[in-house]
Amino acid sequence: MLKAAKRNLVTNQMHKLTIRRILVALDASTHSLAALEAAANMALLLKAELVGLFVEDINLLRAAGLPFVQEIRYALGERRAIDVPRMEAYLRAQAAQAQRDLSEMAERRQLRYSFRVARGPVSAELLAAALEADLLALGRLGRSLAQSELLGSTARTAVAHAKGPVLLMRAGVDLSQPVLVIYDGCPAAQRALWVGATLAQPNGSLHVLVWADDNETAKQFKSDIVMQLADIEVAISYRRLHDIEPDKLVETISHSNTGLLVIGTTASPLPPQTLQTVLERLDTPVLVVR
Amino acid sequence: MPVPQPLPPEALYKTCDPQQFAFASTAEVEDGHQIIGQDRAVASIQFGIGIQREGYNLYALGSHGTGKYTAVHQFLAQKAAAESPPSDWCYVHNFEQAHKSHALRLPAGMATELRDDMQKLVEELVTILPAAFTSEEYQAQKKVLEEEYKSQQTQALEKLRSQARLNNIALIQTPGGFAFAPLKEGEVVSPDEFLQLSREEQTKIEAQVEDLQETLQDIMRQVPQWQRTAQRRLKEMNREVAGFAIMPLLNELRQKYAELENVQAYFSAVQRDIIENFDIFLEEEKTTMAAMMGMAAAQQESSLRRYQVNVLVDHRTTAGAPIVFEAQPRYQNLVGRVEHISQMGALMTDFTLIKPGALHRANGGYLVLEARSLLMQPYAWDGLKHALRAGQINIESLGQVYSLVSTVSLEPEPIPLDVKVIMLGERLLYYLLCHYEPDFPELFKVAADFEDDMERSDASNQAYAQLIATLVRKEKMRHFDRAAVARVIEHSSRQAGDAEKLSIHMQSISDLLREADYWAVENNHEVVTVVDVQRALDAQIYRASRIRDRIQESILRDTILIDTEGEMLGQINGLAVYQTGQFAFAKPSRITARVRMGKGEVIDIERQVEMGGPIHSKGVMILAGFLGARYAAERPFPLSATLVFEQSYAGVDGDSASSAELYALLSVLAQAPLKQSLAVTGSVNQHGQVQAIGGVNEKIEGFFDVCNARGLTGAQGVLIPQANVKNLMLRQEVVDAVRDGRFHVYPVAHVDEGIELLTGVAAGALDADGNYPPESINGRVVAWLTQTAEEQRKFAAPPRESDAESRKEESRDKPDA
Repeated sequence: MLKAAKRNLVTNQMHKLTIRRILVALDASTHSLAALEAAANMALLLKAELVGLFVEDINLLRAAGLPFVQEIRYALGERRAIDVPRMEAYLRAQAAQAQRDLSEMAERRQLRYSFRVARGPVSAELLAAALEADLLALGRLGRSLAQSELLGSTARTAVAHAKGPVLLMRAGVDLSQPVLVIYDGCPAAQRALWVGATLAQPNGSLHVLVWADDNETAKQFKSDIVMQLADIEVAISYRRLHDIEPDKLVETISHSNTGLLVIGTTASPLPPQTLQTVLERLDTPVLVVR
Repeated sequence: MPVPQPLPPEALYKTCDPQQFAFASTAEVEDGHQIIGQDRAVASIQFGIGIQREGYNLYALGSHGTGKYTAVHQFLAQKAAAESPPSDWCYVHNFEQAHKSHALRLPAGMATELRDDMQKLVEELVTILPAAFTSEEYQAQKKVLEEEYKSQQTQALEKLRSQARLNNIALIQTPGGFAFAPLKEGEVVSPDEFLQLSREEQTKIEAQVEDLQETLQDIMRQVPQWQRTAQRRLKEMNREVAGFAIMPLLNELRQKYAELENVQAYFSAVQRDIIENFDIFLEEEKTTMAAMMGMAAAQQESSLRRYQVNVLVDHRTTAGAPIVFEAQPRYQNLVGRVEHISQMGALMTDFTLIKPGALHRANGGYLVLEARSLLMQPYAWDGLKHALRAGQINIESLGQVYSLVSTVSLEPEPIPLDVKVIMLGERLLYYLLCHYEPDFPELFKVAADFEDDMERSDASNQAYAQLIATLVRKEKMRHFDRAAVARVIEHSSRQAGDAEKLSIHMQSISDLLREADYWAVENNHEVVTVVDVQRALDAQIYRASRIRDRIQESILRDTILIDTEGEMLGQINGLAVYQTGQFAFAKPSRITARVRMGKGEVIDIERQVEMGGPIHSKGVMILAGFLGARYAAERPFPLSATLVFEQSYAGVDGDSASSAELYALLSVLAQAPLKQSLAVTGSVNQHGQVQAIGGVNEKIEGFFDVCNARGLTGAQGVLIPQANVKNLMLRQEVVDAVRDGRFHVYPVAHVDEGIELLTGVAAGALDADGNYPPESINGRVVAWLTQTAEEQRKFAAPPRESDAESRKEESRDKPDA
């Protein structure tokens, strides 16, 4: 399989991604704001259009409609009755905030943008909307207060079920740091390399973690990369990945001073468990390319 | 009574023989004391400086320029040099009560070391503490703590979530917290769907949700508790880390200052404070608005100020006990002050802005102040007094004391005061202080009373020569030859107004030496000669004598009427002394007496118009007493007499003219004209004795100058009291005239002698029958009185008060005296 992929690379045209529309999931959380900013920057680089989506969670509205359901206030332990009008008002306020954030971000960069509000189950609405976009950007976490995990449920569903590339952002990360691409030769990895190199242009340097069975393949991969990125002005540094044990990989990446990690997942020779661990355990922004 | 003989020239001026000096010039004389003739003051100073008891401060009193400071400083310097320097003092932050800054006493020279050590400590901590808190170990431990706290929450929530899920109930997040809602196919059941459920199912779900809600409430109530615990544990860990990081540095300091308990206590407080506030050393991590405005650094700096040491008194380079002379003894200059700085428009202060006063600098030593300067400054005496009484220095601003300002202020811990204060001042101030300030005698128990002059003897001449030599060397002047020294001594005697005394007014001596030195340079003299000294004296007089010369001019032009020849009835030349600045001179004043019938009174016109002082009035009343007792004890005194100083427009005081006034009256009463070639000075008592007066030299010279200008006739002279002969130190010109017989000075002991000199008629003594010889002055007076009384009896009515006595128009064009 690996060899097939390699041949494929050598003989075929380079696998590129076309990104015209970027969908940003907005929920007024800090992470979604980070996602919005990253998406806006990306849209500027790729000359894409920005689409903001706010989903009014149907579950919240339904629960508010049940007379016996009460809200237990965080850290206070008090109970408070909830009702539909109030919940709707709250959601509308959030949507308005999200729209303001989007327009401010887009207008500053003079991007084309649109905003829309949907009502329904959050993940389903998001996935449905993602079908009409070339990239889905969202926060690693939603507005959850019990934040023990690094990957929220919506993000998890999006990575698992989205058809196109997904950008998982978190707040407080400096995206001007070098971009890191994991390259294993598969077509998805080639697309990841191209996107990564494109996004690395402002910073000017791209780190590539090359994973190959043997030295010869690794060498081959390197020359492939040089050829592929011939017309992108970016300094590339390589590093051979020897150990793909999940913990080791997480450690390697978290020590590599990386802003954004780009990985191709479809048909990757890397074990699925490894990729999953990298997604869940790493606290960096990740762009998952298929 | 024999007529007094004129004094011989030798009595008019006591020369100082240059031959008594063994040296040719002062270059051969060794340095001696700069203080001579002040045995009493020196003994007092030695005692006052030596005694170590409370309240034994010293007040050196004497005229300005008597060398009080020199004397005091000389003895202080000797005493202080043998003593060890006192403690250093500094102020440090009080970590418990910031406005009550602590004072630290340190051995001399240690204060600056402590300051530098603390400065170094802070500099090191600024790098060490951030390093400790960014270390991987610390971050890992911190993460563990945070994780523990988070997982406590999430575990409880997750447990509840899974419990709920078993019953197909979801834990969902709401705007303000959490809620439980029943699920259907993974989504929350809508209200419509719920209503379609059976009654039992609904009740069951509601009960389950209620249960879960209660459990969740319990968990939520614990959250703050967990949070507090986590925070407490983080804080403890921070303390440990901070404590561990600073320990080696502080231990090093503790060892260095092991013997100083107060410093150890300060270090402990510093340690506690750093551990409590370690985060101020980490400020740079903050990215707030303040940081953007460049204020973070300023803020950190101001937080770190509290670890500074404000060295108030530093005796690192002091040898011996300090001697401080505070030339401007303002309140703040004495007790110190707390300054303010403007921060964002507000006035702020802290212990680093405490500034020392003279009392701080002199603490453990000596403080020298000028009484006049001290008393001229508002509240300065109060401040000094309170510090001395309390035995401590309390820094309080006047604004604070009198609630005039209300900025942020400090109450620095008082510093114990152990100082000897030496005040220098005039006698008057000393006596006023003693009288009006009850605390003063308690605080200044020793008075060093400086003399203005000393005995003139061979020994003192030698001492004087040594003093001149010392001053000459100190001021780097040309040396004085022995004749010049002798002339200075003679002048000093004149200065003292006494041929048997020498002035020890150091300032005028020094001034004369300096000026003589100047003239020696002008005259190209290698050594200052008598010519230079005389030139200096003449120049001094010339510079100061404009008014004297104008007055004399007025006399010579007969604007002021003074006769120096001929004889006149009831008119006599008195002598009045004027002082302009440092220069004294005398001018003759015409005194006249007129009599008329009256009821026996002597009218002092000066007093009637309030131009005569009380002493003058007293003199006139005394002479009236003499007249009454001598001539009217047994018969009426049917006269009114008027006495006046002619052409006096500025008032007179003093009784030195009372003998002259008496002579004028006697002249009228006896109808015996007075010689205008003589001038008279001397006061008189009720027995007719002539008593001593001041300024005798000036008075003689004053009359001499007028006579000399008109040409000396050989008949002219001055009558002076016998008691003033010892004061004579007359100008050489006068002495020469006397020697040539062209001018005379008569010593008079009694008015009877004087009247004979002035009229050429004997006063006359009582014979066995109690009568005066008829041709004598006294006899003529008695005869005249008897005749007038007869005439008076012829009038039926009492004598009419006459106002026909013409009053002299005041003329405004006369020079003022």
